[in-house]
Amino acid sequence: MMHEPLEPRPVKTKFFTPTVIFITILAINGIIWALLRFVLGIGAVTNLDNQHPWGIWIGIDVAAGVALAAGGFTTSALVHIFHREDFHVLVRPAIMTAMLGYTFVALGVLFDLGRYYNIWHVPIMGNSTSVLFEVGICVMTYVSTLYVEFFPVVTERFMGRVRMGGILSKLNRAVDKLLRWIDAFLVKTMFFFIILGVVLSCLHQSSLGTLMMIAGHKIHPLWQTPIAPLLFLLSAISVGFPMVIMESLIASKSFGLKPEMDVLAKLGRFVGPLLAIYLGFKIGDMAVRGTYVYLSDLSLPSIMWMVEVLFGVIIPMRMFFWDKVLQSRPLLLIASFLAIFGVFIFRFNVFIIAYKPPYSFGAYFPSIGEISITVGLISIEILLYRILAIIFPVVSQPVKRLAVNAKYKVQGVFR
Amino acid sequence: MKQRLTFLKTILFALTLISGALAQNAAAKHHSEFPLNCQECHTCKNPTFEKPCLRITPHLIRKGAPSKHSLKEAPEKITIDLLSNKYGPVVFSHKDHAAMAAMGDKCESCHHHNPPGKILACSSCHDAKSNQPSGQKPSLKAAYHQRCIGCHKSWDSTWQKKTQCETCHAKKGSTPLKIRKLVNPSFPEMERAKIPETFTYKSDNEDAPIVTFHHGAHATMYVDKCETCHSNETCADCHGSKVKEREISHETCESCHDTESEEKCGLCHDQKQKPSFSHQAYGFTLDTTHAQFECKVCHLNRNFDKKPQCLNCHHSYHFPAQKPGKAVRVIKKKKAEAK
Amino acid sequence: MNTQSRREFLKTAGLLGAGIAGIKPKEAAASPVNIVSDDRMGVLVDSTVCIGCRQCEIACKEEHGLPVGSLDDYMDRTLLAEMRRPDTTALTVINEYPNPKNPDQHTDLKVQCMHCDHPACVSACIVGAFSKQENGAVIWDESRCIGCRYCMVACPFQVPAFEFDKALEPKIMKCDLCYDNRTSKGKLPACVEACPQNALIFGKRYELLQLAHQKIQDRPQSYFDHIYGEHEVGGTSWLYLSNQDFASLDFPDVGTEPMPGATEPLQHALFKFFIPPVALYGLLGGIMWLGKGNKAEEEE
Repeated sequence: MMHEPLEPRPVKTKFFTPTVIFITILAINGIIWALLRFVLGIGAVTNLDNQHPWGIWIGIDVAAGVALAAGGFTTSALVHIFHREDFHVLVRPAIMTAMLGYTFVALGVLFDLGRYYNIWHVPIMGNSTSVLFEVGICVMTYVSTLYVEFFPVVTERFMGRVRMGGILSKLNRAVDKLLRWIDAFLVKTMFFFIILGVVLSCLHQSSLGTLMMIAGHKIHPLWQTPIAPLLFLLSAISVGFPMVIMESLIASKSFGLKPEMDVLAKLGRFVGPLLAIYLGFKIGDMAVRGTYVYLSDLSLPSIMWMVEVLFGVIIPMRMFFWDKVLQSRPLLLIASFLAIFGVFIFRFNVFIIAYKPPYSFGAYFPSIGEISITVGLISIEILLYRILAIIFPVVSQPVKRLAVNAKYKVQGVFR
Repeated sequence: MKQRLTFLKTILFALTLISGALAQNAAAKHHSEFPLNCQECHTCKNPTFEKPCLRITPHLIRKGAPSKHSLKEAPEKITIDLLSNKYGPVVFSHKDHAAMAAMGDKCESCHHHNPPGKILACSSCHDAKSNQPSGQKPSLKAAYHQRCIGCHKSWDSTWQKKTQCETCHAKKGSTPLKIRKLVNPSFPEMERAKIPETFTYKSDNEDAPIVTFHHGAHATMYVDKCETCHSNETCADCHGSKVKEREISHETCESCHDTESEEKCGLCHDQKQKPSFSHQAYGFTLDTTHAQFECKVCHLNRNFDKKPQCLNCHHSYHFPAQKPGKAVRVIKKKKAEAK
Repeated sequence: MNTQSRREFLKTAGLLGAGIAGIKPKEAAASPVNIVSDDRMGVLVDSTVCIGCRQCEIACKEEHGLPVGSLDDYMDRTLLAEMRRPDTTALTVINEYPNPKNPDQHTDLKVQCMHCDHPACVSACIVGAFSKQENGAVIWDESRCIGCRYCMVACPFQVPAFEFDKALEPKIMKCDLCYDNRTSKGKLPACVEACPQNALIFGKRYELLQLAHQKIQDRPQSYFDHIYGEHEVGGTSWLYLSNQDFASLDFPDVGTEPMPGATEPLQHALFKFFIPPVALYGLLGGIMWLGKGNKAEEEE
């Protein structure tokens, strides 16, 4: 490594800034609407009806949420399976974002479920022919896997530092012992969870694409394709690194750290080819099925498709192939943002724009309640990221700025 | 002892009754012995009671019932109360409907597949017990509804706004609907059909293009039955919101009027609308007695130009004071059921 | 990771892998009742006979304990001017359309769940709350449902309705062919029993098809030569006859392939033997193992 040595450390910064206060307000607004949803029912706070059973809670919170949490599995695959240790500084933030992302996907689902208290039916009564079951069980398993993958960070933070007060103080030694045992166990088995995480991600990222296939003619032909699972998987893989890049750039700015531009630029070189593969399949599918005829009608779906492909795939792809972009912090941020936007709008299009009910009594537009809860969930996620980064050694920082004081400085696979 | 004797007597009596009933049954022919082709009703070779494999019947109309049956046989009204649960029984003005049906598909428009012999009630084929059709054959309830509503819906303009159950069904508890008083027994419900009094047609006759047809006068005085002129009509043709436009030609009128001789054109053709003919205008009162007769009784040889002579029928006109004497000819009344 | 040898790696992988493989197939073995019996029942709707009296709507509501309201309201036909859909207040509705064969008349059409032979809802439901029973009825099991509404997304006819106004225990509501109290006991569905016109005929599906074909053959002038539901989405238990093209009666053009046809093969391939995930796992494990070896050599 040419650059100065980096170590993951808890970030030292004050919690509240004007932006954080604004985000907190959005979070509180979301919580208020969430209470209303649970007291008054889904119909009272959403614009959902029998014609439009799914809205942005599924289209954005779940579908886009899962895609944008792809940074976790792509980065851990890159570093641990393909042994590109030069990117290891990015693993912890990526895993943590994925963990938070998936946790909020699960929460978002709970808002949308009419009988959320029956969620435990899924693992016991699961219907093997249901795509949703596959997605659900994979997400459930993967969330657990992500917690396991993140756990070494917890053990690292607290091993030798368990100081519980009051009557719990008697347990301090036992807890410390347990933490050490878990840490030792995870060191030996972590590779299993890493591969499992990648496999589960590939499964449910692609299954999300299968999800709307059963709606048949209700989905606009621009998106109703038999290779939808492949497109979903490819787009998820291609969005993983831009997500890590954007997150790293924003977090470093917010925490007042120097961004690791050389690592990020190197990571950015993967994005162009990945986007190109995705674009190739997307255009190839269009050519084979002849769906380009729908582009000329300039309806909402066709315009949204063009926006998705032009601004979300072609432009960022070109940018990532350009050295000047990879070296420039603002341009890299824009390129990553566009790639993320592309996948976000892809999920949004498939789940919201492409869904055309056979009997419609009006178009669907999300209500204030739906938007508030979605924005609130994202806000809480951002706040939690900040809290966890302050508590746990997640974000890598130059070693020389900090005294080495941890007993176990490197744990498990996060080395 | 005496008790036992009574018991035996009772048994004997019962046996007699049963055997009598059996004998009667045996006398009634099974329908397979009718002079019918089995394939007309059944689709399979060996129909059984459980699987009759009946054809869908309404389109297979057996013609010819009216040649054997006349309106006189038709019951005046039929009270349908076999299936009344939500509503009261339906009083069906059977004879009126039969008279109107004479202008259309005749008896067969309802009794669509009657075997030879007696005209059968709907319930003799259509099952009253269950509302589940065999597939081929509607249940009794459905048979009634399909028959009635098909026509009633077709001309009743209020049906478009409101389902008219109460046209036929009185609500349960209220008094049954009464058959409307008919205007003329021969021309039932004429006021509802809104028959125009006079039709004016334009012909291609250059000298006298206007043909006036006094429909009301024909209907009430000259023609005994609607079906004399009207045939193959549907309910809506007369009852509908728009009266069907009919093609009029010389053939329509020639059964009564001479359409051949050129000098008689003026009877119908003129340059302007003709006033209605009135016997009064020619000094003759067509009283109820005379109105019963067919035209040709007085107008011999359908010669409407010549004034009929009273003495053609009466032996004296001046008896006793401007009253005709007794009839000397056998005078046939119109066939219609004038009471 | 460098604390581990390759042998340890293999050992742990094998143990954990075997454990997971042992659990998963059992978990995924459950699939709902989905019977396509040869003797399944169905209902033939002859819309040329239907008069739109809405007695079926009343009977359906009475049967399912839904508020009926005033009977006189059902006589008001002005309401039929706008298209309605089955919802949580009415599991079946009558719609009215122009009649091309007779401009003064209308074509009335009863709408409800079609009870598909290969139902998308049964295939889609995450917890198997939907099932297709032997008599053809597609029914919903309240005790399983989690309210995800994927059935509504999947249904090609947009039939299942959800009680959006309820905060607790919202129900998915749709025609159940009166399964619980009637058709499972050999009785007629409530709507069929109530129909004064016999526009609805309940019977074995194959017999109804024969009957429908016979009707079209006998009176070609009265019918549009198509039985909607015979082949649509692989066949439905409810079959429709009409005097006009079904597209003009708002029937969706759904094709003849069963809706789950595109997704179920994928799912079965995944869950039957777990070959793709296990293979992917093996592949990734292999790459990791090989890379690990190289790295270890480098470090030495």
